[in-house]
Amino acid sequence: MEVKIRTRSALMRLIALAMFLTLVWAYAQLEWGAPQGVRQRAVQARGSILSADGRVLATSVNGKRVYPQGTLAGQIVGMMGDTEGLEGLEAAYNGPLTSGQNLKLTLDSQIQAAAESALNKVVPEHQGEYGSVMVLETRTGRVLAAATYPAFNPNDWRQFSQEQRRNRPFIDQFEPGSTIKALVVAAALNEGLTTPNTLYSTPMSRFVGGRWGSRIGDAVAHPSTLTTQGILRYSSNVGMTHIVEHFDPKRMREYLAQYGFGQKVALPVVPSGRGILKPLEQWGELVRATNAFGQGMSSTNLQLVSAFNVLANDGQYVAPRLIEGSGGLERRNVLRPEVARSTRQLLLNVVNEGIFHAAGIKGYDLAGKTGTAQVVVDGRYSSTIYDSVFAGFLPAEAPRVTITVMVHGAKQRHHGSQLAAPIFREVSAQVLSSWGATPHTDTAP
Amino acid sequence: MKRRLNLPQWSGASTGLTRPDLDLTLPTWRARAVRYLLIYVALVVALISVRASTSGVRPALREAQQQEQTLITQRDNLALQLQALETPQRIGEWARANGMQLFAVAPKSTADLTGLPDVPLPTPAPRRVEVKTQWK
Repeated sequence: MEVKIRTRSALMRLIALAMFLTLVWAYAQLEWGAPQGVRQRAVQARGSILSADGRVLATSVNGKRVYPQGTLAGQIVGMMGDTEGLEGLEAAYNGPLTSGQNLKLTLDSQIQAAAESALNKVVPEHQGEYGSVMVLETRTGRVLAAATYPAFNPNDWRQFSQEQRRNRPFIDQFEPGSTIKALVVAAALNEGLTTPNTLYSTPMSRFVGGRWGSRIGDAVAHPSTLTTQGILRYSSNVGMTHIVEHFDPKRMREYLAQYGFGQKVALPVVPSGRGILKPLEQWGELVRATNAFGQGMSSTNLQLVSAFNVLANDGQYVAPRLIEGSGGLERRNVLRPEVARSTRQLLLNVVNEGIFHAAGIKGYDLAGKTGTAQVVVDGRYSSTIYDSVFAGFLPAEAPRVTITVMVHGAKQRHHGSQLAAPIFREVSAQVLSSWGATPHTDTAP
Repeated sequence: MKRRLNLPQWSGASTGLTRPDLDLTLPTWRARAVRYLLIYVALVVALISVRASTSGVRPALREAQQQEQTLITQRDNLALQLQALETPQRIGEWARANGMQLFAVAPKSTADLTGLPDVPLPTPAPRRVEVKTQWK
């Protein structure tokens, strides 16, 4: 009897040990990733991500997820973990991709590559921290490029930090600075508050806002009187305070909201920032003035390009879209077509007369506006960190694409015209070359 | 005379139980056993020979499948390699490294199209047409 009990207990010990080892094995399987078979099947059956011109941005080969284009649109595409998408479109469209559907983007690989290489070339020269470029097809709102610097290669995503994986043009919010002037001038023209040739007295600085006000100054030396055209040309903050002097704050704020600032971008599924537009209660004289030159508000690069697209698209706002056949639902008329047209002429003059060396290409009409915004650090405007911005479109007469550039934290030559404008020019050159657009005969040598 | 029908005989008809009058002699049984055995042997031979003659099919198929898989993998890898090699960035860099520049920024020159050389137009050879009209 005694022997029997001993044998039985030994048997039970053995069984207990076996069960425990099974548990350990199962836990190890979970810890080291899903069982090989499941993982391979999940990856193999996953749909591909393609650009508009048919290039494969992400696909599955031999049970492995690969990104043949490397860094091209890395942050947009995102990456996949063992069985699920982790970031970017891989995460946002995980459901359809898992069920084997392919995802066709509106991105044009040539323009995307041009935008990325322009950033890669110019930003390090100025020791910039990060930057982004957006290119939008004017009529449709299709996103042709959404580039981020520094680049991110999803093939070995573990080597990159969270910061480098960030899809900056959609998420990062910054003060758009003087680029907003073009939009505010267009709104004022639309309201009949100014004309391109209205003359304003423009000292180099001016006190705005009464008791709680502040002194607003200009950076670029300019004549003591400027027309609206001149205000844009010299990017005069003082001039802008005059233009919006009789602008009803509620109306002006409505215009900015209509341009899409402070609003959610109607881009399905993909995460994007909303930006900040101060609530109407805070819209005093000073807020109105600072908003007229793009400070005290913030936007993403995606919002900025959509807003500038209103000028390019004859006054109609078109919601941007990234996936073929989805989004682009929101359309609204913000400006009268003739107002948009005359603003485009003003911006063409800004480039041709002011910054042709930085933003212009001989023989072509490029229009745009620079911006250099101080960055808020610990609640105060920093005097050393700037955002260099440029927003424009081409060709100026009948735009086909709208382009915006943003570079943060450049240590050298940080002005919009020195840093963002050359990137705009590089991207424009690629776009014009890909069209094979012929230059004007009158300006061609 | 009553004609006797040659029907199978059943014994015990009076009791109601019937049984066929089967041929249970030894030679009949032996013949039957031999016949069945032969059929079995023939079947076995046929099956084994079929199996033997087709034994090479499955390994060959498996080998072919394996080869197909290898080729598919190879093709996928090559396609991938090609895609990675012909990315727009690489092509752009190569073009720049070889001194090419974008059309939009390249210096362009214009020239008037000169007229065509003043060569007299070739005159077509005169063609004579003769028409005969016959009035009815």
